[in-house]
Amino acid sequence: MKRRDFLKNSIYTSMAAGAGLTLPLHASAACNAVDMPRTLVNLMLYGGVDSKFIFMPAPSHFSSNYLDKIWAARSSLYGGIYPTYTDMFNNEYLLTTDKSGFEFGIFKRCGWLKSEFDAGRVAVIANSFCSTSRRHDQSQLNANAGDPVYDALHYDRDGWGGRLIEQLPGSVNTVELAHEISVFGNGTNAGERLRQVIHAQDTRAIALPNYDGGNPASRRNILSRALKSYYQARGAEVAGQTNSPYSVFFQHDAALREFGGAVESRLNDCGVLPASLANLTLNSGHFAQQCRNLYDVCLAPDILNVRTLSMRYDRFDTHNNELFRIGNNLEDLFGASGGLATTMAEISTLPYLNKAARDNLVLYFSSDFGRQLRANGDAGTDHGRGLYSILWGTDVSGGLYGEMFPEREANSDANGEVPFETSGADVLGQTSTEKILAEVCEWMEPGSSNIVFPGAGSAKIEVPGLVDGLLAV
Amino acid sequence: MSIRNWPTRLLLVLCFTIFVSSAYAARGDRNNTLNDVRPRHWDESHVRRVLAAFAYGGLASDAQIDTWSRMRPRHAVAEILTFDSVNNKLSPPEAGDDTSLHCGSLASLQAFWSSDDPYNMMKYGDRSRYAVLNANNRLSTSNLQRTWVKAISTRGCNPFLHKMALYITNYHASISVEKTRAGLIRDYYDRIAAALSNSGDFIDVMTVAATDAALARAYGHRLSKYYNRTEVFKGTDDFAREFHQLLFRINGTTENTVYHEDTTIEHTAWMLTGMNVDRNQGAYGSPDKVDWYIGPIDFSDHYDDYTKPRNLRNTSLHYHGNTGEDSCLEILHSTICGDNAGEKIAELARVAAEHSESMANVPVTIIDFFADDNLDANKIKAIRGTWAEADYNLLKFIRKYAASTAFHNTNTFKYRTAFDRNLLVQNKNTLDNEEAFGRDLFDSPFARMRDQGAVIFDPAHDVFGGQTGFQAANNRYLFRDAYWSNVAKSTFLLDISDTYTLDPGVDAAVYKWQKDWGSVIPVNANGEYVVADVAEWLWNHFIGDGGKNFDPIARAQVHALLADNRDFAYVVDPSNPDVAYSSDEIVNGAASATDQALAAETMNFNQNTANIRVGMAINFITMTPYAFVMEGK
Repeated sequence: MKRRDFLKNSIYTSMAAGAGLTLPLHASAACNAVDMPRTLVNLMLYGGVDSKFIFMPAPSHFSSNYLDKIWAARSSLYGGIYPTYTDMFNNEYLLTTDKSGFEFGIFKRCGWLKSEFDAGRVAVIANSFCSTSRRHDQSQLNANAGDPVYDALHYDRDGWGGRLIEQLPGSVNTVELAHEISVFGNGTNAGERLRQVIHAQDTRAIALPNYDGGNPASRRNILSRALKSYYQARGAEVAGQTNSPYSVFFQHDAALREFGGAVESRLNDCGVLPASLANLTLNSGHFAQQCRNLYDVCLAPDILNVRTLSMRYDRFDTHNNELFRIGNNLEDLFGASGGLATTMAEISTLPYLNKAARDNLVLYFSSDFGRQLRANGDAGTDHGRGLYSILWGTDVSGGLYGEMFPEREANSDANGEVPFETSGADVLGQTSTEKILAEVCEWMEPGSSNIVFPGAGSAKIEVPGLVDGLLAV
Repeated sequence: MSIRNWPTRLLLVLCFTIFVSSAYAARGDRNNTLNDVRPRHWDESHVRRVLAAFAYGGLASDAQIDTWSRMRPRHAVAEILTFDSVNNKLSPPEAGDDTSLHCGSLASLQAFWSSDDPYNMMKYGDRSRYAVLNANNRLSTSNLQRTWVKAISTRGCNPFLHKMALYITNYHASISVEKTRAGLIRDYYDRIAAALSNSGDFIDVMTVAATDAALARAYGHRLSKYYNRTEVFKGTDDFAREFHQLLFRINGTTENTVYHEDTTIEHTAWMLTGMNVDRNQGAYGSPDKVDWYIGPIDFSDHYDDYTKPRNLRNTSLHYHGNTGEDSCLEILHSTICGDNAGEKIAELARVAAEHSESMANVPVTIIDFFADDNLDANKIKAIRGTWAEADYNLLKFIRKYAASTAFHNTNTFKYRTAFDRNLLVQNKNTLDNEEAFGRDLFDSPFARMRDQGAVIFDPAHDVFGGQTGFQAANNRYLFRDAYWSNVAKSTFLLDISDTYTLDPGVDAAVYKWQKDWGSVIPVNANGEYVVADVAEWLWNHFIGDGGKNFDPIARAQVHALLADNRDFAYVVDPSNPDVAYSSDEIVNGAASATDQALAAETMNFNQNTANIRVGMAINFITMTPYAFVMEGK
């Protein structure tokens, strides 16, 4: 290697390190069996999911009062075509039973979720809350920051995924799979929020242009070299200026150069996507692409040094036509042939050394907020607060946590109002998501939760100890 | 009455001061407003900064920019920023092209550019791409979107007016075409543009937005009803919440939560009843009934012109419609009255605009969109004070800001959205309307912006608006896409000639537009185009920082591209072209001589090669970090 080339490579590697992104020495392009470390996937359901819609009481529910009131409150969501609650339930829900024998229904277009619940890999935490606001922007920020009481709209702040990453050993990263980088992955250092974030919106097109093997004097190759050498040389000169607004673009270049080529090589070596993923067609093309990205990340965890992942599904703001709209969304996510079912089936086939990649994944489904108990006048539901949190994974202790169908929703409150009959009434948030996510942090790295969620200890919980043992640590 | 007792007088003065101070703390203090840049500090970079932030760089000549740089800041800004559909200095109309007669609305532009009007200079082959209907005779969304993009880069149309209208319809009171179809959302945009031109008063503009048919359809409250006989409301509170939160930026943080939820939002939902939208058969010329919704909303009980005319009971199904004082609602602690939704909205708009949260948040939101991603407490205080002083006059407020030291400030920077960056580059790269209309369709930045997440009428965050600068800056794929575009699709910015016709048929006269950078790049005293001078001019033309960030490495690359049509390392040593030379190597080292030699060469713009080389340099310059951010000083 010539001295100049050596210096050039050294400079480039140091720039990538400055962006917090280092290529591990053991990583190679070859498509060998690799172990996926314990990895958290935060899947944000934007718009405020009506999670109560997903889970409904069985017709055999012990309280006929509850059934009568919930049916009166929400029958219009089902198009007014069912004469009774039982008719609706039998047509729209799949009956299931939790460990204690409690019967309830899971929306029928969530076949994968139901089968995973039956297999003990799904925990549903009722009456949780991640925000105290009913505003999308504020609540989304609260959810991604992991801070239910944060009341400013300042996006240049840390996210709970970023805080978690900083507590994990080694130089590890959050990988964003969606088209926008979420606050979830932001680190705590202002000016370097994305230091440990890799954006993998399309894992099969992650590299910047290089020499294409053709005429060195072609326009493409001239411009490619001019820009590459500019970012490389100038980037090294301004690497310390992290407060400069231009810094982030030098970081982008360094990160894409460093990881792009390596990921591209690995994926090329591993071959084309499985047909089920390559041909995956969902209502949301964005989500289908994220599923493909998730699979690819499991092929290259050693290159990406991934420990947390961020995904999203939009359009849960179902003020009208809810059955159709939420149905399509849920089928994309949780359907028997949906995105997660397809992806997890393929991930299960990946070679591994010690533990299958699928078994080291935990998915947490987050949202802005839940929605109101009573349907509005447009076959939809308006903004609420409390929701049902969902956690999936082999290490998750599946089952129901908290009271799924609280009788208080069907009875008069202190003001003499029955929530199911009252416009504005919502799921009463009784368990802060801080409590739930602290358990996830402990699964990822024992001792990390105190720093990632410093308020978790005193945070609200429906019953003390409710979520203890939520994951097998 | 005069108070002679000094202690009492002092106490009253103190009480008054405290009252005024607390009120101004939220509303903005008229005594703490933005300061103008001193005339002796005002120069060309200030002018270019205003043009970049508010008008996608504008379409003014260098001579005009020079004139503005010699005027008093306030006077220059008053000429640059107007809400007129035509601003002769910012975007001068061109002879023989009647586009400027149609710049006030997208409807008029679509009709003109798709017509065979003898003064329509749009190339014949592209006219159908601006028509209201597509080849299947359905409303065309992409044609509408393309029309807005073209308007920004057409001399004769005021890019500031259209950027402001974009802000209102795609960021501030944002909706998506997916929920309205192209006809209704175009009407919304055009009504907002007209309100800006005719009034420019924030309350008027928000009243137009809140009463618009497109919002009623997008949010669904066109179906909200109040059954007066049974006193039952049936509908959604979706827009009731967003009326306050988005249009007036009242988040309810200073309000009692229960009052805000159960009184203000609930009653606003009742107010928004009786807003059904007419559906007229054959509207917009489309045979498809889903296209037939039209505005504005008729708030009376009436029949529309649907296939089977529908009885729209917009008064009868409005909360206590036509019942006089009994129809009043308590909202934001005020009594809001009116016989129909339109009347009540107009009354509530003023109350909402005067709310302390609105007074505090609206001006900051506007400046955050246009100009500053690094607002601090002092800047915010002065911005709020200026908003209070402007008395809801949007133009007065923005002009004051554009000439202020808060904007032209070392602590101010603005990350550019894909709209901002691509449209600024497009404007700076388009030398006249013949080029704007005669180039091939793929030369529109519409596709690039779409691929980078910026599509008008399809905001990335639906009602929360389009891509922000901050989001664009954080998005590595946007950066990657821009990078690939400039490298692999360089023709987009270095296209130098296309042929076109203005009439149908093979016998139509064929015209040819030809790029001539030599017509705008100045020569030196010897009448020569020296590479170093051309490089500086190009950098300032596209980046507009007076050369502040034109570092030796960038200069070396631009010199090499202009002088030799090669990258710098290739010129130094073709056998080792991957070398990344440092500034020191270029300024003091072995590469210095090569750079100086390249910089001293001259260019001949009588030849196409010179124009192509400029195009190569533009591809390089517009992919440096300095094209992605605008600095305040």
